[in-house]
Amino acid sequence: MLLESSNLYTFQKPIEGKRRYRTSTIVLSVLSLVGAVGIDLWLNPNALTLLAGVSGPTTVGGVSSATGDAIESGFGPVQVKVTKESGKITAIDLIQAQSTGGRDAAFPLLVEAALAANGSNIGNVSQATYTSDAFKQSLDSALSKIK
Amino acid sequence: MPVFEHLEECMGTVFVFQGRSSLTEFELNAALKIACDKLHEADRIFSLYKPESPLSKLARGETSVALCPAAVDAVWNLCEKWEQLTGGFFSPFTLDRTFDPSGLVKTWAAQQAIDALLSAGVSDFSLNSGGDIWLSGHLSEADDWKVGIAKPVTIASEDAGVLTVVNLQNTEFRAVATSGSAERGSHIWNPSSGTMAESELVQVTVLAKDLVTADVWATAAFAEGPNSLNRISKVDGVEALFVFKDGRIDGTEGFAEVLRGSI
Repeated sequence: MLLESSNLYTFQKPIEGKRRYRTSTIVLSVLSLVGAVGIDLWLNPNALTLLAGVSGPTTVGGVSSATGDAIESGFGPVQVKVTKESGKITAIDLIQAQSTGGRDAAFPLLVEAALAANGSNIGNVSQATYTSDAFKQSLDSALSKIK
Repeated sequence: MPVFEHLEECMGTVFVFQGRSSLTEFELNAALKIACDKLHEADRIFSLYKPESPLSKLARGETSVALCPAAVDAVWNLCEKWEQLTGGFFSPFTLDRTFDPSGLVKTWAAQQAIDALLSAGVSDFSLNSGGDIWLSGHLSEADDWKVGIAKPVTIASEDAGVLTVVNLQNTEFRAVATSGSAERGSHIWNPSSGTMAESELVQVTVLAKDLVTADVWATAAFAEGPNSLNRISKVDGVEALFVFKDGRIDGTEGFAEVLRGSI
């Protein structure tokens, strides 16, 4: 994923020489997308267990995949298949998703929507209002990671 | 078209303008300056952190709305309208009845800034006003229509990342606002109980056609708690996604529809 950050320096010159800023948001977007792949880790605390103690993981040529137990997400059961490559999660497939439609289907939808955007450059992330300090902190941390 | 990005620190947060414009660098800078001046002007008038601001003076009873800049009266009226529309869950009045429109001023000012850029002929851009996102109707990059919704953790955290992504292209929505306790802890009052909004919710994200509407509903929903889902479901053009402290989620049917369209 971080390879995408090589785009950083080919972007057209932003105004006022604020190259660092363009860089910053791209880095943040890239990091955000890395986060997107790990979406279920946060969403469902049980998913941590799912990843750690999955039943019958299979490994083929460094690529391992494991299917977790169906989890009551509080919004319909969801079961995911996690594929890891060299220790990195490369895919999360939904094996079982609530199909009653309507709001009940929202949990799997969240994961699917995140995965659908995987690999694209998302320009914006909506979140609770951050302070300037938190913004700078996240910027510094993101920049240090790509150095 | 040349790409631009401009960051402006104001109101204790950061505003990010991103887009493309065929204006010359000089023209674009001038337009951005006018836009950002709108933000700073609102900050000067409404900041309760600045002791000499008209709002601070108003709060201390040293002036009246009539003597304040006209924007104060406009925002006051707007706040009253929203208080009514949200069943009282968005309230600009603190417990001791002083006027604190902070919940609305950021996006209200952002809208002024947006209008300034639009009238300068810049139409292909987005604005991130401290986490509340606005998209113009003329974004030429497909990716710009995608808006991530953050996990309910501070952006300064190692775990920061997105919970999901909505693609607003071909929808009626142009704004995404999120309220929650992740960045600044408990800071939203529940006007009906007079206490800090403490519920099972950790974050609410709202889609709307404009920024102020999205912002106000996100704040009101967080203040009211999970019950606001029914209220929002009845409002046209407003959809919400709730994240509970235990990781559960809920949302309006319309929000699920947008997610389906994003896949």
